[in-house]
Amino acid sequence: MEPTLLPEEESPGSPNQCITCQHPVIEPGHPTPLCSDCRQKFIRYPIPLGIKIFGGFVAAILIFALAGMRSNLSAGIHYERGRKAIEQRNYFTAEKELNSVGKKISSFTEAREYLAIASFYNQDLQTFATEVQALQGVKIEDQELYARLNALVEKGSNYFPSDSFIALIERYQLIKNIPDTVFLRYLANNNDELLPATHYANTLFERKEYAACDSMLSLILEKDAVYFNALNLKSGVKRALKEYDSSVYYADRILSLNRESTLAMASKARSLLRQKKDAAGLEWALKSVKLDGDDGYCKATLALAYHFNDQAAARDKLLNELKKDSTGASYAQFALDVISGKEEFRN
Amino acid sequence: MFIPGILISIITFPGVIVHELAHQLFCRWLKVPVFKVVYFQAENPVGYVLHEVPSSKWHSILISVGPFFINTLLGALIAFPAALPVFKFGNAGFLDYLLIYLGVSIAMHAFPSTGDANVIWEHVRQKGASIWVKVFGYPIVGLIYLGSLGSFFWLDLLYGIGIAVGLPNLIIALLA
Repeated sequence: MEPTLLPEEESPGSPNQCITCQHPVIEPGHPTPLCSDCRQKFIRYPIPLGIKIFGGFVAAILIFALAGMRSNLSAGIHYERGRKAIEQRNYFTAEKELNSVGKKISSFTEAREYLAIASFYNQDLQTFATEVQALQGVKIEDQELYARLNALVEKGSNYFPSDSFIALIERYQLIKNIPDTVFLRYLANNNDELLPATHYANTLFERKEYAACDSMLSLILEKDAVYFNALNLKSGVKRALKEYDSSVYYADRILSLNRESTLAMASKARSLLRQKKDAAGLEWALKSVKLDGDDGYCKATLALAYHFNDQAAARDKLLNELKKDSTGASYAQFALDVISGKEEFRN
Repeated sequence: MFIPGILISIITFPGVIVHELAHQLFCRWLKVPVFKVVYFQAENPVGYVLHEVPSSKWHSILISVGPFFINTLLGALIAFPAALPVFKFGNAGFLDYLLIYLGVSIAMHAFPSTGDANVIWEHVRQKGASIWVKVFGYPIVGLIYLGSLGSFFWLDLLYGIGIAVGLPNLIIALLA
């Protein structure tokens, strides 16, 4: 691979002639006596056809590969953003980014692993279950990631109903139809199941038996201090009990696990609004809607925040949007009831 | 594991071809006549370019180090579209592996040879070589010899893989 230099002293013939064509006029200032034409010819030493074909072949493959590069590059960027978001516990962003990777490249195992983690912290249990199922039997090389995912899978079982709980629901068709005595007996016999206990606490909440609900949730949190369903409900029940600081505390506990939990943000906003901390309430409500503009609970919270911050036009616009959406109508109604004074929200 | 250099050169022959082509192209761009080019042969040296002694010492240095730039850039460009499917996504096809082979082969032959270093050395030592030629020339010769020594420890292969894999990851990290 060495560029060998033509030795000057090897020039044959008279130094006053071109060494290749013997032309009498040589181009001066160069070690090799060459006429102008020959010099140009050697400068443009031909590249053999075989090398050109080789280059063309490589270029053709390259062009073909470049066609898919944009999509690959985009997937790589989304993956990296998702991974970084997970490191920062910004799981909402992480799930959004990693979902777009999965749509492009379903075989990308690491992206699926991270998506499973993000979906767990977002309590998007359908995605979590799908991803965990897809990863079954797949070799995970990153041991730290594997351990992390494994721990979540173990925790995840608490978020899905057991076969016996499914059988109980099927017997009464709806959870709210299960008689208290039956529910309590079930809970006593299945002491380790957190999901039925949380459902029971939720039933108590809906019946406005807040103190009993609060006690029930405390028992659940003794078993798993970071059980999302219980933490979410705890923030709500503390607000109902007018223990606003405590409500904010539980919302903050969720936010310490997932900095982008929109439900916790909205819950915190509602507690702040009840404390008449309207500017702070609006700030958190805006944050939640900025992240998830489709969530009815977050939008209704923002409408309330606009209301208490004297932004009637923005409030009405948002409520009109929400009323049109079938999933948001009940949230809109609650906000309307608060605005009309039908529902007591704060003194 | 010791594998004879000639065998590595045969396996990674596209890189040798591009290396010699880079010398030739630098000669063409710097208007230096070329008398013979051997792009690849299965004996030592596996390739060479016979050209006139350039009148400028800078030109001589540039012709010697030209493959470093051309092979690095071309290797990176060729491997770039395939690096993510092969090393990250796990959805690579035959063409992706082919591009990685070509990219790594080309990039790993980016290092100038000790023959290239000797040419620079001769020019730098000559009387009349400017201080700047010496300032740039001596470290380049030193680096080339270090690279040559490093090739015993697969430095050239590591460089090739680094260019093929590292560049896409670097770009993604910057854009993400």
